[in-house]
Amino acid sequence: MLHLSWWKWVLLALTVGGCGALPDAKPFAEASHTLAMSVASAGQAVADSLGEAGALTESDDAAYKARADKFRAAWGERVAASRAVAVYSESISDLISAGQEGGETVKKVGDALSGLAGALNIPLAAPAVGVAGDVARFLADRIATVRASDRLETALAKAQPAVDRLAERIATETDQPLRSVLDNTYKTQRGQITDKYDAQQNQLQPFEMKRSELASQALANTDVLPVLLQHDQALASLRSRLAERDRLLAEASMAYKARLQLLNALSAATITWAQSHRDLAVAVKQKRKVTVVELQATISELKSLSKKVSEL
Amino acid sequence: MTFDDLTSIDWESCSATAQWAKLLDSLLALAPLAGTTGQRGQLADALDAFADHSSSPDFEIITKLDRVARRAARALREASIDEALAALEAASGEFRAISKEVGAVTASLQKEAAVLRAERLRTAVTSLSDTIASLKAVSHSMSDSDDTKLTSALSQAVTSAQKLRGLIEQTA
Repeated sequence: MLHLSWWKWVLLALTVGGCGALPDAKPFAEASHTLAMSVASAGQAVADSLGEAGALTESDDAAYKARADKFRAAWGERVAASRAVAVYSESISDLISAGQEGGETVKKVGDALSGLAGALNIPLAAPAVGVAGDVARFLADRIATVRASDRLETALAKAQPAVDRLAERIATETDQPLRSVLDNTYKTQRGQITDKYDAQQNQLQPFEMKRSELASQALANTDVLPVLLQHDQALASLRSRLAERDRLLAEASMAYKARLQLLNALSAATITWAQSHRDLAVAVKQKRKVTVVELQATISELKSLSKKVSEL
Repeated sequence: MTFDDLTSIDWESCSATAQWAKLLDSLLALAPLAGTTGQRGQLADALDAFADHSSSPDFEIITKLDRVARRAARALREASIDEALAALEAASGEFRAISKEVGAVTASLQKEAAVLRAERLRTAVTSLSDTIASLKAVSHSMSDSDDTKLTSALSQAVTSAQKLRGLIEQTA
């Protein structure tokens, strides 16, 4: 049989028993913060869209401002709920840190005592001090981990239905009422822009036909040239007005597409985030690491889309 | 005309202003029947398409027809916007409930983190108390010896450790 001194047995036990730490919940907490910010950004994007539609005609401005206010008040509840979840996620991460700090503190105190003994030339057996410190640290870690883990398991299980409901509702609302407001507002805005230029658009074809007619006449009769020149100037002015319309339509379309992208990304990210919460709960139970690659990729995309929309 | 016909309108079939006016009448007749967001959206798209495609040498009349079509489209879309806003408003209570539930769990987690940190400090205090006791014992046992330097250093160490313990206890 293998004979080892007592402190070697303790070291062996530490090596074998050292695995099984709590997962790092910081990426989840960061993702929750980004998600909360994106819920707010998506709301701002839709409110801006309503504002832009109202600003096109003076008579509509008040009605659209009232709609934007109504929307902001309703969406504010979603923002508040997602912020509450972000704070909750941070408290998960904080509890895990509190558990991990237990062993660290014992180690610091142990190190300080060894240093003190060394400075005073008090002869202490170095391996014994080290092992005693490691044992204390190991025990503190295990106790804190188990306590934190028990509380986390309960908390995560308790929060899961609320997390699922939040994710499902945000995803559904983003796909339906929010999308409906955005689509209808954009099309209304597009209609209002086009409406302003319909008269010029309707004049264009008769003007172009008349121009061809005048150009043919000018070939035979140079007296028509001044009239043709005048007509060309009017036609250029008409085309310039229509180019202005096309620019406004392109701007509105660009803003709509960016906002729509944000809504689509938010819907997908919310579902991924709720799944990550479930994965985190399992990881806490099994004391293993949690994979956050998909969550981080989704959240990163969401962050860049939120930034793009805020810069519109 | 029915809602099913809206996707297959042949915009090239109209040329005279009267034909455009007749087509617009048919579209407007569907407006009171548009009961869902989908139907309203479909009809509004058709009305906008009418204004985009209509053309006539009599551009003043055709512009007036376009304006009627655009306004009807806008009214239909605004009805859908208002319906969506009402749906969002009606579901707000659920989010208030979620905030409350999550807030309760957060409070319990924060409390537990505070307890763990307090225990951490208690561990540090206990360790220091033991050290102080050991150093005191060493100091007493050496008091009769000639090594005054070491005795003085130990006394200082005891004082420093006691101060540190006091600080930790205050934090806790």
